[in-house]
Amino acid sequence: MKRGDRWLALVLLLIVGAFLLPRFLDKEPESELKNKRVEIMVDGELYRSVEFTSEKQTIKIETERGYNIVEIGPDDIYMIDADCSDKVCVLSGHVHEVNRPIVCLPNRVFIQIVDVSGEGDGLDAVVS
Amino acid sequence: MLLSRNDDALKKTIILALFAAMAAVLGFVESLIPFAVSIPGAKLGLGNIMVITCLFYFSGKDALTLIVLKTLLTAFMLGSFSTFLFSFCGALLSFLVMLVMVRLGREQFSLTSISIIGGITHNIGQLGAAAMVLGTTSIFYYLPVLLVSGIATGVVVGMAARHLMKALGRLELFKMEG
Repeated sequence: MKRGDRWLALVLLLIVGAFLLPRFLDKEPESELKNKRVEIMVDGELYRSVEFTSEKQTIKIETERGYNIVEIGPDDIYMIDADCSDKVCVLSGHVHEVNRPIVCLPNRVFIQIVDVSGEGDGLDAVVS
Repeated sequence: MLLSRNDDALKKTIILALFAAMAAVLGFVESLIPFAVSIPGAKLGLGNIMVITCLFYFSGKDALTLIVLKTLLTAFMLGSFSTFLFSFCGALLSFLVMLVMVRLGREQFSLTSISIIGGITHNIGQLGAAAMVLGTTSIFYYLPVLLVSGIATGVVVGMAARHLMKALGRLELFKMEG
């Protein structure tokens, strides 16, 4: 190990720690289902905003680039199928965390669960 | 020989082409390995073995040619043109940072460090481009995971590059260049 390596290891350790510690420490109280919505973005613009229902919903997103089929369960989102080249979105599996996106870069599709309970306080207001 | 100067240039062009072909094949091979595919942007980055080696033996311009060829060839083979922009942004940022490290910090940093930073900056460049196109920074949710996976793959890639350079060093051609 050279001099610079040790510094680099230290800096990397600090950065990764700074990212991961808050996730372990403050487990935010799970916001209620009625406060959550699913936002589907295509090309950086809101395509659809969907509410959770007790029944599963299946939405097909069709764009000029291709299609994505997303299943919105009672409390999670899941990309069932897509015609993209890498299938990263499908392999992301079932996501139920707020703000953890499912991304399909080839089709420029971006889906995430958002918490709208704080809506209107300015910072987190959803631009639609 | 009258053509000796041209011969050297020709040799360099051929070596660069070979490096690019190898990088593309490595990229193809790694697409067959299901490695943590559920994290957007995470990959082994085997092609970086060739980029690092190139940075040590050739000029920055040559290495730039290599990454352009590498990303283009990989896009052709995998048919992933829609993500070409993202891999290119990642490759470009990673190339620039590694170039600075190899040129200025070769005494301070080991090959492993350079390769780790190369892997991490590749991910950052890719995420940055994706954030711009998608118009959201939420995609940086995956940055911490990508940092960790970048460190892990960087170690492997650095090891491979060291072995490759050791082997290449036995060739007369690379003794001259290096």
